[in-house]
Amino acid sequence: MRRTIAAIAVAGALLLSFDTGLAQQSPAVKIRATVANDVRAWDSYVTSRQRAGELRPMRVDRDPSLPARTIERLQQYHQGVPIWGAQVVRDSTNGVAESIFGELSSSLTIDTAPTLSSDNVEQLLVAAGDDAKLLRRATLAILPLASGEHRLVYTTVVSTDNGVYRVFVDAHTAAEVLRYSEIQTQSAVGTGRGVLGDTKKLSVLQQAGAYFADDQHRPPDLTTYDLRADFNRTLLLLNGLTSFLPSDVASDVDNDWTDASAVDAHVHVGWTYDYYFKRHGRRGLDNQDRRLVTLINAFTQQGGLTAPSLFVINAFWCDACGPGNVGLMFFGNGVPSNFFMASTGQNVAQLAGGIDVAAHELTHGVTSSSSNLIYLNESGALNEAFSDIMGTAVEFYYQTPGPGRGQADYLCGEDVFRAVRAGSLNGIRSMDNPRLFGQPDHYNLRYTGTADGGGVHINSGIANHVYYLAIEGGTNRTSGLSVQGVGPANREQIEKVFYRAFVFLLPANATFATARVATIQAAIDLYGPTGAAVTAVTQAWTAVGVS
Amino acid sequence: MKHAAGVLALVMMASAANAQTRPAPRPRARINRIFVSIDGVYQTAPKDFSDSVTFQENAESGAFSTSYDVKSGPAFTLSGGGLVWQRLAVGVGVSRFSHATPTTLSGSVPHPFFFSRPRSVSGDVGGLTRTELAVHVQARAMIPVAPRMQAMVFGGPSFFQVKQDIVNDFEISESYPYDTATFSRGVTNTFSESKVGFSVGGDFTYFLTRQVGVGGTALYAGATMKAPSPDGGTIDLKIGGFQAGGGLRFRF
Repeated sequence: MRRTIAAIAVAGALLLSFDTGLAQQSPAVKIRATVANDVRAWDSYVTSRQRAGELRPMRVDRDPSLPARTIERLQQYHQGVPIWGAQVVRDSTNGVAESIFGELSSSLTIDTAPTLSSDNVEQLLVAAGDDAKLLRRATLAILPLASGEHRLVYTTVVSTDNGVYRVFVDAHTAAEVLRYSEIQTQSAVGTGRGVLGDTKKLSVLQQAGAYFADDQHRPPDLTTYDLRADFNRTLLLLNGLTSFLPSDVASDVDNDWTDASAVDAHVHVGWTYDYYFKRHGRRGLDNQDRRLVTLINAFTQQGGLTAPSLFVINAFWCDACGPGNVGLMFFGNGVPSNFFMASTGQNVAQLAGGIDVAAHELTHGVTSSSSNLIYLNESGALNEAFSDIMGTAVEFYYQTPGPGRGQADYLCGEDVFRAVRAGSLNGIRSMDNPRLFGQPDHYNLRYTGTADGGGVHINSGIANHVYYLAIEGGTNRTSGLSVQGVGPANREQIEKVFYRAFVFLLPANATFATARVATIQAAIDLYGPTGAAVTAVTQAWTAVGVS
Repeated sequence: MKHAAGVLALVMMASAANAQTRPAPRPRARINRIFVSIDGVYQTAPKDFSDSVTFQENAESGAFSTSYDVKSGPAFTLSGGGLVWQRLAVGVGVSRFSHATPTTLSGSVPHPFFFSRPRSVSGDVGGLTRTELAVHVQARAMIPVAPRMQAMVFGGPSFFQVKQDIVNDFEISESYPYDTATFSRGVTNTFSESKVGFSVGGDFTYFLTRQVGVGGTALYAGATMKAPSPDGGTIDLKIGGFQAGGGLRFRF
């Protein structure tokens, strides 16, 4: 029955005809074929129109989620003139159509010889005022109107003082037939001061007179949400019990951003994406441009004084959190500058201010999508170490080396965990000297208890130190063994070695011993068996007692 | 015209009477009272010009500079006039020519993610032209050289109508991660303005008949004007140039 209806529709579409003229009424042929019989009938119709030259290929796409499928987009023409928007999309597997969608004009007899030239029309549009400029050359087209009428028009894109418009002008009379805005949403670049007082650029969305922390430049959907100190909503979102609202997106009215946490969260997540893309050719967390959703401002700094520390002096990546398990990045706001933690003697600024913090947490997302190192015992310590390593790599990628705030070093979180009390330290871990923060710098000193998931944040110091030694060289303080590092100028080699090993080679339950072999193999793969990287990595693991 | 012919006849008769006692003088050169010239000329390019523009893009200042190469080219001139006193004449000449002005553009476009990391772009902007219509009002001194030859020197104010295509923006193609950008095309508009300048020149004619001759001409006409730059500044334009060519001469 469906096939019969489809055949009648096709036949009807072909038989209907109307008077010719400057404007012509023409019925639309609507194709929405998903059932086999319909698809076959419409496929035959589309093929015949293609052979007649009425439908011409525009493009062919492949959907990565269904790689066997081929998606053809065909444009309808009448006497060589395209009919605006009249297209057919045919999804096929090995040449067999699976579905066809489209809306075509039928039985057109409209004359396609224009009275006016494209130059005439362009001159008229430019002379129309409003500082009009043509962004495209005027081209001939047939425009189907809502009334069913068809007009021979010239179409172009005009930029005026009031906006950018797609304009259609009658090719005989020069009367404007249709105009609509070409600006759906507009990317914009804003500026703002980060936590450290430095000015950064933000890639944002301009919409309805405001600016939103919704990155329009990078490939993935990268959005920063401002929870505006609504902790209940924070929990609902983390638990996936409610959806994001447009009003949740961090925003600014003049694109000169004043919320330092929003600035740094949005920028540092973007920069981390960029690092992975440029250094390792990776497209985001899952290498498929997974959404990057960031939450900030669960509490104000003052409000955070009585709030759970997880949401105040912490940042985290939660792979399964959020609506639809989208995965969330969270940055706490720290505490006011006149407070410090009794245990460490440190003040904690907004966590988003540490680029190594952001990169550390996002690297957990990379690990989740690749080796998925089990967050327990040695594999967990490797998981943590890889986040520290990539966090530091990102820091060196964007900052100049040095000991100051906003400079690159081998401390973790030093830009936001700041020593206040005499004798306290900046940061939370040191890759140069793990023992400064109570981490082992040698396998013999590893923690073997059950706390902290078997010491995932403790024993990570061992692998961190390997990374440091492999680049900078030096002597392990426990073993006394020296390492010939590749040197800071060649840090890229060690970054790539660790990336390849931890993303591609390690199994989920890897141990330090496995990590040693995998990183050495990665060095051989990338730089050959006699390369300096192989020597550096081998010596570094030996120096920390992993053989 | 008749009066001129009569005067000339009297002069010739007087000369014939003296011829019996003195060697025959050389025929005197004839001064034409009304003259018309049609010339094809080649105009050398006026001075090339350039522009530097700053703009705001990606929350930072960018800049581009354009260098306009004003090409020499052929032109057509028509001039004419009449004797007003002794050997002094007044004339009007009209010339029109259109120069191609191929333009090179180089610019730096701010990066969307970082301060102080501009992307360099450069390219050629084709299709730009300059069109000049000039009306030269001239005082002309006529210098008879020989019976068939005549020279003229002239000068006076020139009225120019100039249309010059100016690059006021440009488009680039870029894609993530935006570390490089490629010049796509220049966006132009046409500046149009009138300006008064001057012209000086000379002309030499050899008459083939009493009324028709051929000649060569050379003229310099020039003026300066300021065109608006896209960022609100101005561009100094030299217009006109040196013309040389030849064509037909008519006298009455």
